[in-house]
Amino acid sequence: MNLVFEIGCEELPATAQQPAVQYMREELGKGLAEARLLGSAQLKTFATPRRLTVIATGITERAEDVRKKLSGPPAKAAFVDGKPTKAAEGFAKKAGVPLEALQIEGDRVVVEQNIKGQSAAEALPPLLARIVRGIPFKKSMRWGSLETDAFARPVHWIAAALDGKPL
Amino acid sequence: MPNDPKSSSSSRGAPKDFQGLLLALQTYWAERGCALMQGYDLEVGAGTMNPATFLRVLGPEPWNVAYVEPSRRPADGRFGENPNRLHQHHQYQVILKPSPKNVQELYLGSLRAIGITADDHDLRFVEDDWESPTLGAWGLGWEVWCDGMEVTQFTYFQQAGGFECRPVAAELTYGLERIAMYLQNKDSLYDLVFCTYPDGSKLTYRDVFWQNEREQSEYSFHASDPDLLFKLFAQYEGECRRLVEQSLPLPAYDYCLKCSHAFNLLDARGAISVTERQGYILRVRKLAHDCARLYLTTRARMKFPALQDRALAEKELARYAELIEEKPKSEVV
Repeated sequence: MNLVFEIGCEELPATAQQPAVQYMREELGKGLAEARLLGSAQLKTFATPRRLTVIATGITERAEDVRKKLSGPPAKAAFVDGKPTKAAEGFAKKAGVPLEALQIEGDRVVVEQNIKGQSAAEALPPLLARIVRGIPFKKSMRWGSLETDAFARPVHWIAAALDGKPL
Repeated sequence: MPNDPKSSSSSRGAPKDFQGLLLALQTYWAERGCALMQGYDLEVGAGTMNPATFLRVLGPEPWNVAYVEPSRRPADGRFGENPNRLHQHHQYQVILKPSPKNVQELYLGSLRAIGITADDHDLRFVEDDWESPTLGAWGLGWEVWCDGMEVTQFTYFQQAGGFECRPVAAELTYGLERIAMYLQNKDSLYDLVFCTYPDGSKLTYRDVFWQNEREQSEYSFHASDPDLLFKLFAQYEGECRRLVEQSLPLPAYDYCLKCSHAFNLLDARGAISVTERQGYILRVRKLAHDCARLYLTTRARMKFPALQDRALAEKELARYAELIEEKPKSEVV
């Protein structure tokens, strides 16, 4: 799948443009990789005084499910006289599994998790929102009546389209 | 409220004289919802120092104004001999608070109203972040360049008097003489046509201002009395403090401005050493901060009357609650 991600704003300082798109590209790459959507995708950046753009081609549509082994507390702390302790309960809760799913491997409690793969359409919106707010600028400003948002210059629009469809 | 950049006055030929330039800008901004103020009746170095900007950008109440500000900078006087530099120039000052989404379009519309279009000229927004140490104010924005020449300072106020500006005000400050020289194609300020009379005769900038330039420069650099100015600085400072104690921010701020101008005169005269300079700036800055703080307090005590949305007013009162709760040193009855 192809993603076009663009921030439209008022004239940015000349020195702010390249660092901003490089940040966007790196964070997009990292975020996609964490979600197992990066594959062999290519990321290209474009910057003008009023537009910061990343175009990603070849993003995976949906990440595969994976099984992951999660390591927990020492077996001695988790099971006393064959009964599960608070430590075991806490670990099971954190892993999102019933107590019965806990196994003992060596001297630790482990559990196998089935992590569902996200689709690009699900994973991208929160990732992109985080990237927009996270771009580090030497100086940021507020504008109008916005309470907390700040950017190098006022932002007028944010566009994100996956295979041509707006996210 | 400011609205459409395109309307009756927005596409005209260039004004033929300085007066026409002022009228074109006044008309444009009045048509877009600005109340026309006047330049302040005390010596100020910039439109920003006029209480119509410095005090009104503080707090949550909306404010949309435009005015011409005669701006005195004693150190810039050149005895009427330099074709490009003046003791007193004129700024056109616009404040739009909160800054509207289409503020850049509105500004470009104002340039069209004085005959400067993007079709015929190279217009650029070049990074320039403005700061005034004496006012404890700063903002981010641009110098606007027209064919490589700066014509306007365009700033989103972030802080004034040491206080965060919420909402943010957009400030447009046009350099009128410079724009007029460009429009009239003159190499010297003094050759500018100030106005054309009905009989066709012309009043020049020289006719109006040359004597003032010569005499004010003589005064600033040679004839002023530093002892008197030092005494006045101290008296103005003391009076500003006394009026702050009396909970009168507007009269107090007048004395802050008098201090600032006295400092500028002493500085131009060479009476303030490099080591003392920072100390004086900090003293004026402290006065500006105290006036700003008191102004915010008085508006909050009045419950921000200009805020139509009373629910929003309640939220804003919570933001400034600490200021309201402080007891004033003496109440005005």
